[in-house]
Amino acid sequence: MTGRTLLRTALYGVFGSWLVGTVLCQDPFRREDRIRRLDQFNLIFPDWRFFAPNPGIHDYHLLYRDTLASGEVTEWSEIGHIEERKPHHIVWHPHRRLEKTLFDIVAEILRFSGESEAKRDMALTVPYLTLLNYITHRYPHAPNARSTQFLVAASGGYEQSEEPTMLFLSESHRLERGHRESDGEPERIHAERMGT
Amino acid sequence: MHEPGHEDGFDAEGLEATLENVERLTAFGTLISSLEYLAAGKSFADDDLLSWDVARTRHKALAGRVGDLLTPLMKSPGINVVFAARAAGSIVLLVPRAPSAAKTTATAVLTASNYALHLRTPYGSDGSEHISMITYTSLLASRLARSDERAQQACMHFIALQSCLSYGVAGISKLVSPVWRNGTAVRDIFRTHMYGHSRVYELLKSKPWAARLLAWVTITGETGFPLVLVAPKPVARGILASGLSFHGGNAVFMGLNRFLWAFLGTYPAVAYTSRNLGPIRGRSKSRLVARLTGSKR
Repeated sequence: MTGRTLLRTALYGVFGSWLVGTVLCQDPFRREDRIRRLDQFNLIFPDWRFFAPNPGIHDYHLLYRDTLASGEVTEWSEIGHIEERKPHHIVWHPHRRLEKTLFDIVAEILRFSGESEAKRDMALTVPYLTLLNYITHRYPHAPNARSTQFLVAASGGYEQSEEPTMLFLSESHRLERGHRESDGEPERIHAERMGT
Repeated sequence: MHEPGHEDGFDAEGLEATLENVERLTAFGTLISSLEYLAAGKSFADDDLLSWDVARTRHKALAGRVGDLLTPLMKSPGINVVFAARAAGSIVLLVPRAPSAAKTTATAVLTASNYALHLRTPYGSDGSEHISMITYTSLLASRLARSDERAQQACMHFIALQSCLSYGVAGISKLVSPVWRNGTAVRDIFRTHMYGHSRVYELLKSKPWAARLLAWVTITGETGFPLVLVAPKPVARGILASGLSFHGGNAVFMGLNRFLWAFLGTYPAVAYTSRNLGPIRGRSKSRLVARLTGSKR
């Protein structure tokens, strides 16, 4: 067997295994994904079961509020927004990455919180720390704010008749020096960040 | 007559053209995606949503020395160098007369950075990045195996099979779902701001038959897509055209713009692999006929 044939055979082996592995972790009912668990970093086996079998039918909302030194609690402020679709989004939609990022983080928080609480210290998970870091530093807090907390809610999106539901409430975390002090409305800060 | 170095029965020009078309379409999508990342680059700052300091705690390896080595390129502002390199690599692949070595280097950069970015954080990525990983890995393998046309052909077939698998699996996963079969799934996806559209939702809500029709068109189209590999030429062309319009519609109404280029990029490979669209098949058939009839080419 020549070196070239050997390399070609190796290539066939890699592609063949990759394809078989991909097929094996596409259970249409999403029961158990033993093979997918082998792909610890989620780099090898794609998930081709787009929006199926049970698609997400809610919008997630991320909100935060502060507890002031006086003990008063501020109103909830929503973080992030989803842009209305525009024709140019078919080629250019930079805001979409931020929308999907927030969506994924919130979805992971909800997935973790659905698992056994005893097994997982939520406040040490990546999605939790990510949101806490983000909210603490990138969103405005009152100068006399002592702590902040966030919540995740779900709504029916354009279906206004469905009442929003609270799905996850974080602990209240003490704010250290260095957090962003309030210099405007959260919506304005968000727009400024996105350059819109 | 065969060109020196080209194996018997291979349409070298067809293979080369297919590789280039896959490269260009995928690279165009990567260029847009990289520029979008650069436009919204603040997210990667230490105190922002995709902070490296937080993200690296996901994996033990990244939290340790390996992560330290990657830090200059994974942390803001260094991460922008990665996106700029990806944009530059995409441009190299889009330039028809760029030197082959430059294209191979660009493909290697795009492949490695695709994996690295996905390892850095899974947040914000989607199926379009996964198909791109498959495409770039196959393109890199085919560039490294330039002297072996059979290996290059295998790379194109792999892209095509993964692409067909993606549609087939997506379709079957919907077919087994009662909420897809009765149309409520598609109606309720469109009610979300995330993947929906207000006017489409109003239409689907007021006309349940339209929701069922849309659901079944999606199920049938996705499940039947792999038939492109064996269907007669006009049908196979129709399948690819409907795939294109499907992604166009998803980009406009569902915000799935990145899927358009990533999946369209696989279509030249799908056409190449298709029994009746690919250039290789005609040659193979002639050879088979020649062998059966005992005639020489």
